[in-house]
Amino acid sequence: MTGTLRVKDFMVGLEHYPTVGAGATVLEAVVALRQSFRRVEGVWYGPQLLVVLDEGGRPAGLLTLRALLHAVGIKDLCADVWFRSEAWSWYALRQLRPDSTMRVREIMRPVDAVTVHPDDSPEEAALRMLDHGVSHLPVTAGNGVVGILRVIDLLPYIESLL
Amino acid sequence: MPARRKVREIMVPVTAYPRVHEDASLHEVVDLLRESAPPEKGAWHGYQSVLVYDRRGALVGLLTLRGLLKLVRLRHLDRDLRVLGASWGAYYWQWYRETRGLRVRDIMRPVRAVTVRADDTVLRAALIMLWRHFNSLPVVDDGIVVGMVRLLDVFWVLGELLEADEE
Repeated sequence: MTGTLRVKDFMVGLEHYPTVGAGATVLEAVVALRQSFRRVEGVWYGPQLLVVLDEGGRPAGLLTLRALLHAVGIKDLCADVWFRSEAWSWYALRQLRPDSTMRVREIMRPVDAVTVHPDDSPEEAALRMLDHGVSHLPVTAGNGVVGILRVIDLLPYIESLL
Repeated sequence: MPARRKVREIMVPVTAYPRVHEDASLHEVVDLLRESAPPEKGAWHGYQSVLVYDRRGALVGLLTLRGLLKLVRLRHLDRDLRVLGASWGAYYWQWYRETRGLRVRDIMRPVRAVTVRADDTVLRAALIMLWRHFNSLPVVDDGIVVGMVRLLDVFWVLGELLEADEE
């Protein structure tokens, strides 16, 4: 029965997520996220985001794998090299150097941008994900971020609708 | 050289990827996604999609977690309609019957919609994923789907490239 269940019953606690400081470089964030990957029977598993901590160690933002790929400049290549596939990888190789002055805080999604409360219903959380086009929501109570809710965490709720 | 890596080197072979029949119920998909979850609980992500096959054994589609999430919107509408009252009744019941029995084929993404070639570079796969907002892409070789490449796989290789640059 999922009718009385709340977001706090589905979320994964913050302590399960890898972290990075807000002042870290993009490259340091890439390294931190890769280190949390594990290979099981030839297939990679891993979290899709880093929790960004401010100077006081409090969660300040979320940094997704997708945002990191954007930040290293991959999408900028789209415009001019999309059809030049022959020279493509060499061109990209030279371009793919993250700006070493770019910091995590500039590319993270601030935790207060879209949030969900531990006592919200799973339906509210799901609609918020759909409305904002995000797959992760920080779960925020009075004293800060307590967990992260992903689409996959809502599977038991989705199943109850079928 | 990581930048020269081909998609076939990093893809998950099609035989290792979770699969369902197009006539399967969505319950079966939920079970499958649960079984394919990583061995430890926590923040890990493994598969965010399953492959869909037709009765002749041909791969026809891809069903994503996000596709499943969209069902919540349908149910939400469903409740609103009920509140609107009796004049909606006939329409509502027909619609209700249709969505209640939803099968995999009704909400899957057709497999041919966007693919990448096995000999394409990893960077090309990354671009398509970012551009089209997909987390996984079927990998085609000689017209046959031979694997799936996920954002996770691409990130792993590009991270290798960036870290190598640093040294």
